[in-house]
Amino acid sequence: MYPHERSLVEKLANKPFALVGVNSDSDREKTRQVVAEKQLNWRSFWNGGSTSGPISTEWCIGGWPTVYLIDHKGVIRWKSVGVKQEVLDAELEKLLVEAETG
Amino acid sequence: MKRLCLLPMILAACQASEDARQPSDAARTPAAVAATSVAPVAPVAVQRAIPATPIPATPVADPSGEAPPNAPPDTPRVAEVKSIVREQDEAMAAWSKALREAGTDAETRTAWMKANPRPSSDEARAKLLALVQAEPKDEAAWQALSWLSRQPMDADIARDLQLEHFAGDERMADEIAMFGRSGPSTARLVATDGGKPVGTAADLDRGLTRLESLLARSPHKKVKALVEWELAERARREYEAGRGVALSDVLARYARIAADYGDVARGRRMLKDSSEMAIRSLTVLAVGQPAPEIAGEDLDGVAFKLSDYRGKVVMLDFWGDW
Repeated sequence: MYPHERSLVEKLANKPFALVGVNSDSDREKTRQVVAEKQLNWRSFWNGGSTSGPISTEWCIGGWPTVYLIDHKGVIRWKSVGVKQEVLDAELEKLLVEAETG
Repeated sequence: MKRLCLLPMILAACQASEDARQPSDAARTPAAVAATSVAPVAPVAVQRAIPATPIPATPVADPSGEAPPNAPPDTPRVAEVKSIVREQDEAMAAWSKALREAGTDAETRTAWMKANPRPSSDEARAKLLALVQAEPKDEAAWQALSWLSRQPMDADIARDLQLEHFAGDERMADEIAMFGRSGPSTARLVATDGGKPVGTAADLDRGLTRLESLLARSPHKKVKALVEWELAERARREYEAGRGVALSDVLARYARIAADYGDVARGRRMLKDSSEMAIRSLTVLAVGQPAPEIAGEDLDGVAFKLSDYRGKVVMLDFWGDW
């Protein structure tokens, strides 16, 4: 998934798009190292060091990875536990068109 | 986020329809169910094609479990079952380990598997089924069925026999997730095609029929609670897939579970919490709802908010480097 996420951020750099992570690893310092080593180019919320941290609980996350797509008006438009890249890309494209035209 | 890592013990409730699970026909009314009674069927030795990827030995709830200190010693029949199961699990584990060590690229693995076929379980399965058929209500039969119900080849027969002879056993609570599955097609259900479960409606229906029958026959609260949960989950998946189940029906199921079975544990959570989270997922967090605000800090400790990105399409990605 990392390569796809990285390429989305690069490819959509000039679009109204942001990849925002919520990281549920247990060791923050180690995660920072992973971000540096693997050149993860998006910002992440820290979920308190646990898969049952406050943000994932608030968002009812039961499986990893889970992705929510939120449109430019702040409305939830799509969610998926486990991600198929083609489906994600198609949904993103629709929302980007909306954001740019409307 | 290296791989799909579903953690069923965390919370199955909030998983979306794309989750790799079997669909079901939960639109049926639970009342319309009679106990399934299936005559024991002799095992059929089937030569299976070597799978492209190894299927690890299926974990068994309590394969050769340590007996509590004061428990009576195993009867010879139980000991025999445990010994057969242990031998099978060990052979399978050794084979999987050797396959892993052979290498990771597909060509190497295929060549290796050709030279080292999967250990056959035909003999062991036949022995266990014979033991069950000889004394179907004996503890040895329970132990044997618990293992057989996790073997794709005999799963359906084993689950029907569990229902026939052990519907009143409280330990059925540990079997619910497997029990609701179906069939000769179990292997296909567990397998997924790009995230979508594979299996026919009729196969799934049989699992559903068993669940409903167990619900009607079990005297145990925990068993009933977990079956109700499974049925609610199925109804939710039907709703999410647009197969004719109304949202209000799904919400009513979860609300009833929270009220009637809230104090029953499922995994690490109480059903009250799981049900409430499921309801939240289907309402507050549904597609079309405004995204709840997140105000937190990033990995460097700098505060930021989800609403900082208003005006942009946000891919909110729950990930972990595991």
